[in-house]
Amino acid sequence: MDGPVGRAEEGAHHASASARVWASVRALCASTVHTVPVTGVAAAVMTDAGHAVRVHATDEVAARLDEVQFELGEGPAREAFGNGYPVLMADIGDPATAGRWPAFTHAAREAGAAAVFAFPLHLGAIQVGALLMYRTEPGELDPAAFAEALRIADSITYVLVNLVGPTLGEPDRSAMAAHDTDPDGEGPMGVLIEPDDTMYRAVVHQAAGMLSAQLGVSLDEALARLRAHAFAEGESLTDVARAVVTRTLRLGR
Amino acid sequence: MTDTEQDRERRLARAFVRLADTLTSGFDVAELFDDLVGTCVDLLSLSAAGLMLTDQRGALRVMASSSEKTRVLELFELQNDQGPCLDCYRTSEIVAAVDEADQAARWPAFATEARALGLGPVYALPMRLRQQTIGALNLFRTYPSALSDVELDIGQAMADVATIAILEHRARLADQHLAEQLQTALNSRVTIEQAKGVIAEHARVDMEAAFAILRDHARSNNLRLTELAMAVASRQLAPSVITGRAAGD
Repeated sequence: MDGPVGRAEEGAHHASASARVWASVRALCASTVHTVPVTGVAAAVMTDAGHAVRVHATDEVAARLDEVQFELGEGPAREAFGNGYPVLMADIGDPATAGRWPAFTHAAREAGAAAVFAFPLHLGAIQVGALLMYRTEPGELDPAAFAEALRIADSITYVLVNLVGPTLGEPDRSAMAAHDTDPDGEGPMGVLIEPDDTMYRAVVHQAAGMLSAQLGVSLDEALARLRAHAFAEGESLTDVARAVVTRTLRLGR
Repeated sequence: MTDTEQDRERRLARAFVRLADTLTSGFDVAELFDDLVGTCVDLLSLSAAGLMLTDQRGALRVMASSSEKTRVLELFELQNDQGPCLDCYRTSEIVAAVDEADQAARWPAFATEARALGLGPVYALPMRLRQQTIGALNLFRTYPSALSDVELDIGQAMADVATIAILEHRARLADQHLAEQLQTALNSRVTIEQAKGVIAEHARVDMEAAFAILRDHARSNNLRLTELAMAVASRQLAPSVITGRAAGD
């Protein structure tokens, strides 16, 4: 199976690169409950065909909420993934909210959740999965909390897009060692932990599209290669992207 | 009323009718915004126009631009650090800087880049929704002509149409709906950038031409621009279908 789900299912078997990505996602999920006023979080990778693999859940309730959607084939995380926008259920006990997915909200309340917020993990046509947050008390996310939740979803997306799997091979360990000092807040894999604005630059997405067409690979793989090149050369992703777009840099297989 | 004024009134009326018509049927927000900035350029004799939206994470992102040249897009992007759009977004007021010296004093980096691109007087008009501002419409003229009060009013009306477009006409829980619409619009723009890259590579053209190819194909085949971009970027649709070229031509 291609893409993040296929690599996710093999994640457990790849000790180095994939494990670091899983560790990053776990760390991001764990930190969420300290920076966003929610009780627990679950992150899952998904495909259009409906396959889903849970990457992490911070507690039993979050795990159950993820599980239930898998069993029912429906729910806010699946909707967020499919539609590409956040699904915010501030009070799942409210009949107006519950009416959307009665089976899910019933199971969610039984599990102990009172509010559920789901965020797509995506970057344009790169659709990775969904991030689900819940709290044991009803209530909306205020604008600051919503902003932080979106930033965390961006970070997790970015980490998962850079999942180095069998198709890309092992990262160059000497290059990793050379960049040990971590000036950009990136982990030793060149995996971005802190969001920065390079993810939102048009030229980065254009370069991913061009590279995807040049090499005949998916967008997420193209983006991962751009990141890997930038990291290995000690350049910014934006500079590498500009070089690709102006055709002064051509990345090989 | 002069002929020119009458002619513009006609064009303005037609533009509003067209935009209103788009709003009543299912529409693609990315297409509407692209149409809107093009209309602004046409009606107000602008050298460039761009539309920026809050990403709800603390930044402004380009949603549409009259030029898809990378350097112009970056002129909008850099306004996250300084520039008329940032000031407009923060104050919810119209920001105007007609003189080069004024621009250079207020936003040095922005001014340098605007000069390099041959742009002159600059305006940022707020996209206001109830108590909050969700973005800004950025207008440029070439020197020496500034916008008249009437033209500024027209520009603000365009910004208001863009704001309404974000909300559509559906009655939903207000904040949920705004979040959905903003995040959908932002993500569709990313998809369009990705698709531009695919087409640019395949057809061996620049980003401006790539965007035109996508937009024209969507229009002539009655497809939504965002859906077409998604199909191209995700490799579900071969670029050759759009460009009429086989790979390697």
